[in-house]
Amino acid sequence: MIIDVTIDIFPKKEVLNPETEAVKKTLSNLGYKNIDELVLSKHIKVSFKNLNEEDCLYQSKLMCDQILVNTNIQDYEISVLKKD
Amino acid sequence: MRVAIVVFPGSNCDRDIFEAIKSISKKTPKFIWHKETDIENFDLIVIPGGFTFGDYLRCGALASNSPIIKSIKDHASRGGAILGICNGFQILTETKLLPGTLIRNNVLKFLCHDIDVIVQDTLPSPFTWGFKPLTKLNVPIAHNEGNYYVNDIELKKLIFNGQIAFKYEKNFNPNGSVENIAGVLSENGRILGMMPHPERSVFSHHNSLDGRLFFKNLIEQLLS
Amino acid sequence: MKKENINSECTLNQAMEMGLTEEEFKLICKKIGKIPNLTEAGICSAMFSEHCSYKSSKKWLKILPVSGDHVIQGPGENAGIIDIGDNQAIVFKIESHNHPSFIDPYQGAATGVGGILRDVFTMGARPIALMNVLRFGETSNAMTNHLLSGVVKGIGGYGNCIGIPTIGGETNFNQSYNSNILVNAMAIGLVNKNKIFYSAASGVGNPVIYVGAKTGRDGIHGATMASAEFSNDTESQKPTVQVGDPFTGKLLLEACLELMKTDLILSIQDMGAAGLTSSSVEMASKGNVGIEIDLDEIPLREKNMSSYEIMLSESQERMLMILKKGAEEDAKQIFKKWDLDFAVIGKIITDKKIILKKENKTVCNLPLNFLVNESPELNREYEIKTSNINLDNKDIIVKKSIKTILYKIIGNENFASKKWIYEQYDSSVMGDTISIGNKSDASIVKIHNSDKGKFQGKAVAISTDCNSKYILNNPIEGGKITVAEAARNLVVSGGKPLAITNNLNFGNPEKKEIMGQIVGSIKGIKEACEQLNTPVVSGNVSLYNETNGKSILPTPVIGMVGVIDDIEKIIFMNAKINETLFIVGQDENKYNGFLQSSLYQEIFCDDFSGQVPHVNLKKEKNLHDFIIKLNNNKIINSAHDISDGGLLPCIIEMLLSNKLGININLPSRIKNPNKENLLFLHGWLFGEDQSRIIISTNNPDKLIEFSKSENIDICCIGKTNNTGVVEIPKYDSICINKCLELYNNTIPNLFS
Repeated sequence: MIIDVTIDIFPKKEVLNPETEAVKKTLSNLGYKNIDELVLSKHIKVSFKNLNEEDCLYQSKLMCDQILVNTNIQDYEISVLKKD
Repeated sequence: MRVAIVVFPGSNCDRDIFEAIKSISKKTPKFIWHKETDIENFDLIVIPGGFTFGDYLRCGALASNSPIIKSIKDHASRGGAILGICNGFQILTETKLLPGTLIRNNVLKFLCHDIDVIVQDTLPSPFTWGFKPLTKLNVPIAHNEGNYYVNDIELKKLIFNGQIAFKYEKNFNPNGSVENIAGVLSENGRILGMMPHPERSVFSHHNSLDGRLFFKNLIEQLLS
Repeated sequence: MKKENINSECTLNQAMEMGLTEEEFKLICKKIGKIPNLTEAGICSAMFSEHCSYKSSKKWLKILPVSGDHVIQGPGENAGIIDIGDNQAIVFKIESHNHPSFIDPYQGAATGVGGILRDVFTMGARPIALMNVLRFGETSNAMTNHLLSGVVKGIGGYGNCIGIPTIGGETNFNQSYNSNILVNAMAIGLVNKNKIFYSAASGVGNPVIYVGAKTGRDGIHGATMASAEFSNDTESQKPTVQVGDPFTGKLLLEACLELMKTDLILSIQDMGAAGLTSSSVEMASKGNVGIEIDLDEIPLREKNMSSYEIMLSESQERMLMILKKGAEEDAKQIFKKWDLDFAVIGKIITDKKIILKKENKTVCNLPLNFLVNESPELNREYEIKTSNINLDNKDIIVKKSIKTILYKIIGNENFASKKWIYEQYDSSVMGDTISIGNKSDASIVKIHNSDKGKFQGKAVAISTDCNSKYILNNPIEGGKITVAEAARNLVVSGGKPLAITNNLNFGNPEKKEIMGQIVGSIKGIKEACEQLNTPVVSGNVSLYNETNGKSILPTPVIGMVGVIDDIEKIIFMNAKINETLFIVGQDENKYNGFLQSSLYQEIFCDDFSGQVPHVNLKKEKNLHDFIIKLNNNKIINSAHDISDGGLLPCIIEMLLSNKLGININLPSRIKNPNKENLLFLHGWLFGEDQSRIIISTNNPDKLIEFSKSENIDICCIGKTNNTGVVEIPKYDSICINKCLELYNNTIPNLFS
């Protein structure tokens, strides 16, 4: 069985993100004046084989804490995308 | 004086550090490949600048999971001295040997130029104690992710402990670093991470010789 | 999924979609005695392309001087090589990546840098410096900002990551580049003379090795892929932009240099344009052998790639090598250490053919001699047009104060400091950088560890140049000036010019006036290279740089390399206080000032048509020798070539960094302001005559003495002071701080 897990990594709100600010400013210059919030995130998809859903989620969390995410500046969300 | 220079795939200041230390200490540093796990005792381990693993994922993140890191942590727990420059600094924060994180320059550009950094009044440390506090050093920077970030609580701790080693001048903060920080020390003062490249101001054909002074002081402090 | 029919014959239509002409296709059928299949036709088309065959320019490139005492390798290899003594040699080449950079500025520029670096290290050299010559459209064009920032980030993205300093070059703007930007990257490497590697294959039975990154569908020629008959294969995708991976590039560099320390490699070549096709064909044909490749052994990134796609993929960071028999395992260990692919993909054969196999079937069998030696050489019609306009200075001069004119020139995007750009490049990594072209006219990098005891060491000086206005108005004279100016930039930095690499960027050569620009500028370059003893050792041609029938300005870029035998002899361009400035190469009173084709004319007349200044190459050479003599006698404190903008802007550049002032000593005949004198003054301050250099000295007497004995004209400008004001007595006074502000802020204000 293959289980697809997605991990979204985004900057913590309290950390200034100049890239986000720049994108927001440019969008505003292009006429998009109603943007309240904009988040640039990193999207990772992992396909697991031969693992149950619980273990997939557990391993995903381990990966995030070990390497994928820098928890000083980033938060993350894990979700199960699909199972075949 | 035994110095190790750790080489990761993508390190690119390893030779520069080698030449600088060799010229000042008259001893030949040893290159250590990142896959090595059993390393001898060194007086100083240097993690040079570069783009380890292409800076993919996050600067320093992949390198901080290399086999050598365990040995470096062991060295640190024995109170060994470690110097991380530029990408080396990023690796040290990713391994949590140093607090904080280096994020993208607030100007959203890679920046390479000479800059003054000011030595701070710090806790006892071989990296700073050879200097009178507030000494100015002119050294180059060359980075895209040198914007040092810590939260307020940790920043207060750094200030209180005297862990801030170098600052940029107030009006010349190139990258948006919190408190104009250019380099920080570990709580025991034995580990330094810094964004500027002292190894690029060591020889007479360089724009300044302040990096030479930095290494000279460091070597003297480590030997004393 | 349908299988590609590898043996189906290529139709004329398909061949033409691949870029072959009907004539070429017929020639191919005749010479190989059969109708080629699709893969074979694709290979022929690539080898016959302008890029690989230089068919439009070949006839004219042959007239260039390519040899000399110090030339170790001229054109025809991955890069040129010159001897700099002490068993060391400099490997260098410039190459364009114009079209890809317009499509995707970041990746286009990045892969341009990666490609030129591989050309250099494939010869055994460690790259020590990068330069780049860029041309963009007008600054007011909406695309320019996007293209410029992308290209700059791409150059930095590759160069900074791989850890080779980018130490100079030039960036210019003109509306003719609006839809055709130029990105020319130059790499310079250092090699021991006895450790040079070449590309000629040898030894029947020896293994052919593929190393580096995997092959994907990057950069495959677009037109062919669209052919429906060619592939009903659903997996076939549209060609994609080549993506540079500087990290893999760095690993490949280190792995190759490590392997080169052994004696296992017989020959090696980068897979550049037309990928595996051109590398395998060129290696085998140079070695007078044949090559057989099993395409099933090629490391692939994507599934189900056809033989055509594999052969024409331009995936980056790949090399082809011939090893000694039995050396495979030792070599493989090195590449394994660096986590790179290593595959034995074929062998050298006696028969001078390229034979490709896939799934145990022969998918290509072509004679090599035909592909290389009989690729077309065209004799295109040309007309060398020189401007028929001849203007007098009074037709050009504007009624504005000197100050106004000067500030306008200094704040012009083509004159102002490009600091905003070059600070985005790592210029100090490797620890040998001495000047990045801001401190001296040439960029300078020290030869690593060349110092011994008191001797401070040697250095390499590099300059790049091209003044397109001159080429447009007079291709021959313009070609000469481009070379002369590049050499002058080296000489005023303390260097001795040795050789050049050129990148000939033009429009459509099928038009005879464009062909005339190509032929004319090559003739001019030839003459100057001969007179100045700087042969052409490598180069690149980029044609068809035009959109909707509108061509770019002719842009034959020269990259010149010289040696500084003692870094104590380096001359910087910043004057210090209480030094006397002299113009060398200009007399006191007769000088009129040539304003046609000048920056002055371009800015204030919105036009640069007219004649171009004449360069007397003999006089130029004498001037260089004189400067070298002065330098050897320690008479020069600083020096600067007088070029764009003329005398006054160039004086300002020398005063800027120390914020000095000067009282300019005007020629006696124009000391008093009146209408006629003003005319002379504008010419005197802003004229762009050739073969002139400003120097500063503390020893005017000695200089005057030397100039008399060598019969060189000089003209005293005055003594520097700390006022920060440039005084043009009775006419105007100029504030250096204002100049500095304009010089530094123009580009950031336009692009930040």
